[in-house]
Amino acid sequence: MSLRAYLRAYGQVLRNALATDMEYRTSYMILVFSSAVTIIMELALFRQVYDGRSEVGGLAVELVPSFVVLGILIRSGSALWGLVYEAIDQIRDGSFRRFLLQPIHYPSYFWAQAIGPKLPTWTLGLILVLVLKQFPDFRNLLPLGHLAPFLGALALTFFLMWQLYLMIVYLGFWIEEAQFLSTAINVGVGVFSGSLVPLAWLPPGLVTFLKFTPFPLVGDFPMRAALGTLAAGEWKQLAIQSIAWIAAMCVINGVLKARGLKTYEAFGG
Amino acid sequence: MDNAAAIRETPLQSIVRCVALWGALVRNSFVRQLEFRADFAGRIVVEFVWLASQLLTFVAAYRFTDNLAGWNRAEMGFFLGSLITIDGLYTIFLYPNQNKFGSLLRNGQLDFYLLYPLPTVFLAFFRFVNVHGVINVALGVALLVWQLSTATLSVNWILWGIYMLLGTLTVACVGIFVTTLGFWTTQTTNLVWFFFELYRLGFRPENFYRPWMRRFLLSVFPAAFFFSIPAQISLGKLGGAWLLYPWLVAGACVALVAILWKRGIQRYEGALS
Repeated sequence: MSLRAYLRAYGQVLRNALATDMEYRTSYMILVFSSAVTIIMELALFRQVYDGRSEVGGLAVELVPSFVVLGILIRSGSALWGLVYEAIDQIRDGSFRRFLLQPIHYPSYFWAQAIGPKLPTWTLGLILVLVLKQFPDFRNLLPLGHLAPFLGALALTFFLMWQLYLMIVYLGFWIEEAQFLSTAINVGVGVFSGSLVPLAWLPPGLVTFLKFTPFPLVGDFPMRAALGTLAAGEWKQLAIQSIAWIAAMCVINGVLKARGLKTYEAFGG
Repeated sequence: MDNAAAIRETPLQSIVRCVALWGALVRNSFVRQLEFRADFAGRIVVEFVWLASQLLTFVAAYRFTDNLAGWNRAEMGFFLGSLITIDGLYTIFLYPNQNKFGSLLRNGQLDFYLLYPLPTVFLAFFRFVNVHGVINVALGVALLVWQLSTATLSVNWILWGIYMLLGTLTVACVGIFVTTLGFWTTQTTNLVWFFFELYRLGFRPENFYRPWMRRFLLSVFPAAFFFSIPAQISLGKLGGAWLLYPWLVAGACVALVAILWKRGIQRYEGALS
């Protein structure tokens, strides 16, 4: 398939996924409302922790409102809920067979299905940033100078998270109820990645353990890139780590898919 | 009480019959859901992760202070244990029924509920139970026990039992109230979401918030009375008139639900007729 044909085909899948998602416009209103509630709750907690202090655990008090909003953007921008459930259901009920019969590259299809519905969420996030920046408390939110490192780190976060979700989908070949892994990641990623509370606030032993996992790369990395608190050369180092994780997951996913399809064929019919 | 058979009974007889029937419904739901054991095991993992993330948030916060808005570490652990227990009860009893209420209205199933010799509101909101909520209750109780065994806390368990029940009643009434608005909106999915988002505000003690939000949580949407006020009363942090307020709020919520439900039923035209 030529690159042009590839882009046309999967661009259409992306547009279809976007159109389907836009049928449920109210869910975006709920997303905004949910974000407002989270901002209120988190700011309330941070206000009590700071209690007049100018800095706690390496995070300056004036960066706290930006930290809370960026955390929401990073989590809601990368989390996939319905897609993983749907894909594992397709494996379970046998409708996944169409990907075996039709000339579809499944990872590309999965990505198009993921990106399409996320476009309005990202747009909403951008609007939220622009609106909040008008308020004095949020004047430190994403200054222009931090935009490029943040977007770069965020793109790597999306790649990494979605490779993780794709891995869960492939695990569906062996574990029929693998959806719970996706829910567990979505529930835990905030605190374990450092996008709900700063990673430096967690107990040191846990932080050391987490550094051997991809979690800090999908929360702490884009967060600190946006806040401008990365040390010189740290962005490059974390980006290389992210790319290494993505490459490793691509290989693992390739193996899982190949072996999974063999297992899947065993069900036959 | 919106059918003939229920009206002929005394309230006590009606409650006894509801409890007996409800026992059978609970058994039925449990058996049905426990058929999917792998799913149940997976949910346990999810609930552990959720509990860990809730606890870690506060563990992180208490690394830099001994006191958050007058709550020390042990008191906060007690608050979280109480919260997770009541949240588990909400997940078991109300949540699955809130989600199904919209389809009851749209597909006409509520017509049959109106004919059954039982209070319709009971059938509509307590017909199904979610067995997975048991995990939350168990984790909440375990956290309470662990907290009390490792820290010196003075808890009045009688007050805890009474005010936690009132908190649960208030959660149930506010949840039913918001979902009952479905008689006017037909779709209830967004109402349930709306309720849940406001409900989450109760996951922090109300004195964490700014005064305007605190007033909101103590009056308009009484999330402070779900977990925080009951926990503070049991710990002896609140007394005097505060012992009376949860009763008044719960009573007002019951009355409002009764009024709204009656109006909703009057408005309901039935999907099958």
